[in-house]
Amino acid sequence: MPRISLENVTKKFKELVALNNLSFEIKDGEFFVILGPSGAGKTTFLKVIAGLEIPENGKIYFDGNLINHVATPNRDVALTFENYSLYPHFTVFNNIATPLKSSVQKNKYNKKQIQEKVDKLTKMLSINHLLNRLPSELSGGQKQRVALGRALIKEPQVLLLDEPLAHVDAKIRNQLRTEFHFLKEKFRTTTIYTTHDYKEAISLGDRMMVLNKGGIEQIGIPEIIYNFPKNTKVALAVGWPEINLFDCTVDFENSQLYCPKGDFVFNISSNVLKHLKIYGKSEYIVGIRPHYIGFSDKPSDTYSVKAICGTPEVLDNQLVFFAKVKNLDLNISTHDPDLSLKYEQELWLGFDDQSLIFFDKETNENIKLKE
Amino acid sequence: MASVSLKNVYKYYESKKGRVEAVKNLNLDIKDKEIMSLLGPSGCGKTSTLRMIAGIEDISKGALYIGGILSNDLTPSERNIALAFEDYALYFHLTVKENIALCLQAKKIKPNIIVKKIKEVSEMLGIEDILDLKTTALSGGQQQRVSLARALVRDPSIFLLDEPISHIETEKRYQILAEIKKINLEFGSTMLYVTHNQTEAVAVSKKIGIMNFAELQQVGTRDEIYNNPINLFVANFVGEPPMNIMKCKIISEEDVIILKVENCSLKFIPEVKIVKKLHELNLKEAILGLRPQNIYIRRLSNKQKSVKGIIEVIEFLGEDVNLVLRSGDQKFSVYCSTDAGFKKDKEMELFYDQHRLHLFHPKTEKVISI
Repeated sequence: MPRISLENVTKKFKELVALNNLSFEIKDGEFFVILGPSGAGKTTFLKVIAGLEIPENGKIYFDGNLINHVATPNRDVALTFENYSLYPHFTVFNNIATPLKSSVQKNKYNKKQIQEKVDKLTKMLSINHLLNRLPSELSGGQKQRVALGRALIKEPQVLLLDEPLAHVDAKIRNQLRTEFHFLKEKFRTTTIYTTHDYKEAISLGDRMMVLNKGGIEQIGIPEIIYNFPKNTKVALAVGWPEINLFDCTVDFENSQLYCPKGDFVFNISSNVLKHLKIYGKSEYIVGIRPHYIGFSDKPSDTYSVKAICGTPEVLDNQLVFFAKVKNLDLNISTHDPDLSLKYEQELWLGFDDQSLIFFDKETNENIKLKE
Repeated sequence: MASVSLKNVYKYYESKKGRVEAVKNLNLDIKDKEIMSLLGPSGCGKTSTLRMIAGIEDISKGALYIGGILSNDLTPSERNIALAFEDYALYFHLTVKENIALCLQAKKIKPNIIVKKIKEVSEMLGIEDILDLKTTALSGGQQQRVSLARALVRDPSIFLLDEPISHIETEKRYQILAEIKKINLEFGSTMLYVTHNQTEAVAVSKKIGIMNFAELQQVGTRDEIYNNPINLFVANFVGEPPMNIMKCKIISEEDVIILKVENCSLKFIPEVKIVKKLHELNLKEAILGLRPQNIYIRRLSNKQKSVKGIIEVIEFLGEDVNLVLRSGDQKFSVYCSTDAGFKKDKEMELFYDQHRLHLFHPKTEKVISI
């Protein structure tokens, strides 16, 4: 399985820069996820790797061999499309067998071998019972498996999956996502997987990249991306409800942070204070994830910031609500959906300084990464 | 403003292969000013139900009352209903603004009021920048917002919304749902919200009706449906990730009745009350359901019982961790909040509350309760 390296790759469509000077490496056998909103350049990236688009600038290597001018059929890559692109008049069997019968394969496989290969693969994908059906007789999740089967049948060196779970409903998405964990261990093909769903990205990726307007925001293992986002854009791209971001001023004398918008102060430990002193500025954007904000119905040393509760709602196993502190709206979530909170109830919030993320107010960069 | 009531309603479609029942013996009451959502997989009959209320489809059998008046034979316009569809149904030769204004103009509303209404609704749905574009130039999500705007701008007694936000990006969905709720509060309009997405259903309405195979399965609040599902379908359909479902044998071990899951070493101990019921029914087997959220990685009280499993998949999801564990041939998942150093292939002990076990009849798939 090849290692894929990119050097200063740029792809433009007329004036529009779709991929902007990308340089990085995808490891041998790695499951690499690209996370980005629509229009970020995800599909273009896959097409460039597949050879369906030629970059204006830069070099692409498979295992150190330059492949810019290698035609798509000779790259040994397989690509699945967001909308499956199955042949509507072919059965599931024929859809999956097509790549083996193509002229590129030069009759490498006889009928029996094709039968065996399709049989083995479809068993793995749990679609063995559907071989004689037409695509129109399949559910979204089943179509996705067939598309995946067609990509995997010729055992490609590189597998490119374009938003494979975007069009299946939530229930099946959950199930297929878990199945991808099994599949990726079975095949160990170098895989590039695109998605706009951060949960898919952090769940599946050995490493992941946050792509925004054709440029790399951050590359890393999912835990790092989630817990140590490089800038406010990455912080907002992963996690739901969205991370809270608000401006704060440091009061070095009293070891406190002051938030002007919410007009409240809270204490921080000497450790964090030391860190901020070293960085040398007194104003920051502070980030805290909704489930790290503690709350209580009584004030105490830990819960010292008074807030008014918005309408609590149970969404995806979480109890989610807004809390209003003067002019500041905070997203708060908890894993206890049975908790009873009332609209406009008074709450007392606590911010554990270990879960705070500090961003430079001018550059929006995480200050910890600058060490 | 109006209540909606369906009494023994059927919808048949005649086809070459014979009669297809799209809706079977449906009894449903939506109170005046209430939002109710109808939740179910595709093909369950929820859209047919909505279309019958709107008057786009005939009612094959049964009665529809709107505001207490029998309305089977009223035309769609006489019913004063606003509709928004999943597939937009926009006039493609008109601009966004013209699409939204059309029904207001038809009602002879003054132009300055129309302008004001369009401004309000387009700000609410974030489409103020695209008002002068033709609808063909819009993305799917934008078209859907226009379709929704066209329904919301009217002042009907009943809103019928059929998957109105399914093509809109997730971040924006909850904002729009909040706006829909606000409209319901401010104008006191009755709403029926049809969706296959349970998160949307829970977010938009207190009361949820669940449909499958043309029949209404259960109506209740999120908590009622989640904690006391009436049958296996509802149990499996509601909740994410889905409930763990295991076939088990009812056996006696050292004078204690236990539920032994087939082909593995998992054993669950049901509550004494339920055991009595199982005896009454003279059952040897049952289907056991336990939600991934109700299995804990630490003992929370000494009343909790435990089982063991080997970790197969550790799925880091940011706020949560989804574990897939295995015992023999049985896989089951556990949902917990982020922490604890999980290791793959390691055996771990897990804890559950007896009262959180759901038991279903192996034949009828109905819940076994006291």
